[in-house]
Amino acid sequence: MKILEIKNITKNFGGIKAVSNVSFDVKKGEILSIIGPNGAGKTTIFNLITGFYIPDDGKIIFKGIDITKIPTYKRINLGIGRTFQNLRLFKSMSIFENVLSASLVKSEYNLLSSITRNKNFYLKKSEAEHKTRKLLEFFSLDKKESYPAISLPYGEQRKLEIARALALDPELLLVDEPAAGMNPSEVIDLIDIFHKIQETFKTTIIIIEHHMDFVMNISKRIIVVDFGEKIMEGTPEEVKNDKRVIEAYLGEEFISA
Amino acid sequence: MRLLLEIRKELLFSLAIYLLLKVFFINDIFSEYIEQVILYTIIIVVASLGLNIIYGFTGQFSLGHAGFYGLGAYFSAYLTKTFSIESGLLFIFIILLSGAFSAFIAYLIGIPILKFRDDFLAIATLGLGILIRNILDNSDRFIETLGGSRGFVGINSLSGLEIVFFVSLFFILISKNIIYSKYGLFWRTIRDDETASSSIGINTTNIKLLAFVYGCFLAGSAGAMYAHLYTFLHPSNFDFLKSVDFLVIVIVGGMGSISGTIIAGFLWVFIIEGLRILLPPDILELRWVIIPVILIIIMMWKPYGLMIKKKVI
Repeated sequence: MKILEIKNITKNFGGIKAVSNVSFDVKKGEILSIIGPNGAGKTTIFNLITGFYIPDDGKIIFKGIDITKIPTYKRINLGIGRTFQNLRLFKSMSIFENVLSASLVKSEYNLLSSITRNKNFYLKKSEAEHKTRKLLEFFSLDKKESYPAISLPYGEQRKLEIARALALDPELLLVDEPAAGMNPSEVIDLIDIFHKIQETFKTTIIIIEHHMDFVMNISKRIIVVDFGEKIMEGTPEEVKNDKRVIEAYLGEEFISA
Repeated sequence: MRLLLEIRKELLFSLAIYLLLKVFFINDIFSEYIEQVILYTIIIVVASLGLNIIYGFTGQFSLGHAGFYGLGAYFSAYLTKTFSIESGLLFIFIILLSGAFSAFIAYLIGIPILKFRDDFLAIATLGLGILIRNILDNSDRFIETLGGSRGFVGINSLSGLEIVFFVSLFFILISKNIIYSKYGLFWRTIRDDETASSSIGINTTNIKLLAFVYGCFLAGSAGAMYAHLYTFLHPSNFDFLKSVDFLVIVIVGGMGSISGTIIAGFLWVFIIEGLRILLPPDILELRWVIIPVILIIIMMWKPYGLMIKKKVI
């Protein structure tokens, strides 16, 4: 079953075609990777899916709903979560508050009940706090929950951003370069974490990543983009042996290695 | 019930302060002038809290806050004068109505201008403040009572200790409850990173508008109390420099700190008025040398404001 359908999307910035006529489907429950050289348009694809950009042409269908032109917050509330290539945490806020803010987005109490502090307010508040604690435990961040987000080492900041996105209960999670800036042992941990995320939260995941070991290990299907175009789609084995991919991106050494 | 339990400390503390003030006021320990300054300070704190919500919590820089304070003041004075309102209860209703009036104008203006960020927003709100001041200056052309540049005279004196104290306390407690709810949390996420806020599904346009409208509601309500404290209004009381006053209080107290705004509000008014008493009349204008020096010292000592401990970034 398809959860996301990308149909011939195109996005131009001035004269530059950042994304050109790209189409692909994402099946429910899979981990799909998007690879390609820097500036190939990978992050632009994420920004188009989440509504930070609106495509010039083409359609984006999520769970059968056409989301091509609706605002970001509405798409997110339909069940899409994302992280950013250059971490975007709420820097002055605590680790706990970072995740809590996302847990509270769908919390159903209104301005009046926050003023009068009725039963429903406390109920929803403790629900959100409980959910936040669970997520922080899952990522082993619970011991540091009151620290400012910025005090975490880089690898844990990445985890915190994923925890924040998961607090939205997304059916589709878009992760932009999760392994960037991580050391090899952290990358091995990260592979485990993604398998665990998929198991625990039953989330469909799209990952943009440069770390080839990571990509080959984690996804059964890979999409390769270059100069804004999709040049190839297939299993890790097929991608590894594709002449165009080697030329555009992997390079000869990758094969001989 | 749980609400009262939660705020019992604040309530008891405020009640003690009120009783103390009441004793002083009844026994005429303060001169009438000082009594007026104390009430004025409470009013200024309410208006500054409004700006703290807009700027300190939500990060939307506004230089037009005094405009909304003035709108509330003129609106309320017009109503009490036209309908010859003298009862306290009706006046409380007028205060809320004036806040709502400012909030409504803020809503209409906020929709287009909150699309701007940072310095563009500063310029837009600066223009807005100047616009409101000019409208007040020429107000007698469409409504004679408002007085235009001659000033609005003969307003009933309705802002007594009880009304100013308890209405302000009510506003501060409501603000606290909103700040410590998801709305306050979203205000802060928007201040930190607006893009990330929308990536977790926050409707940033609405949440920013809520902060702006609520902040201006507080300004308008404060303006109504101000009008009926001094019983005279002049457009120059609501110009750009007044907005800077509010800004100073928010920054000195600490962005996003309720107690900071209260303390800085009192400090600000007391320094200005205190120097007026302390300095001999012939060197009175030396105030404006001393005050900036005090401000510089405070900002060097506590760069993030009096009530913010330390920033990590």
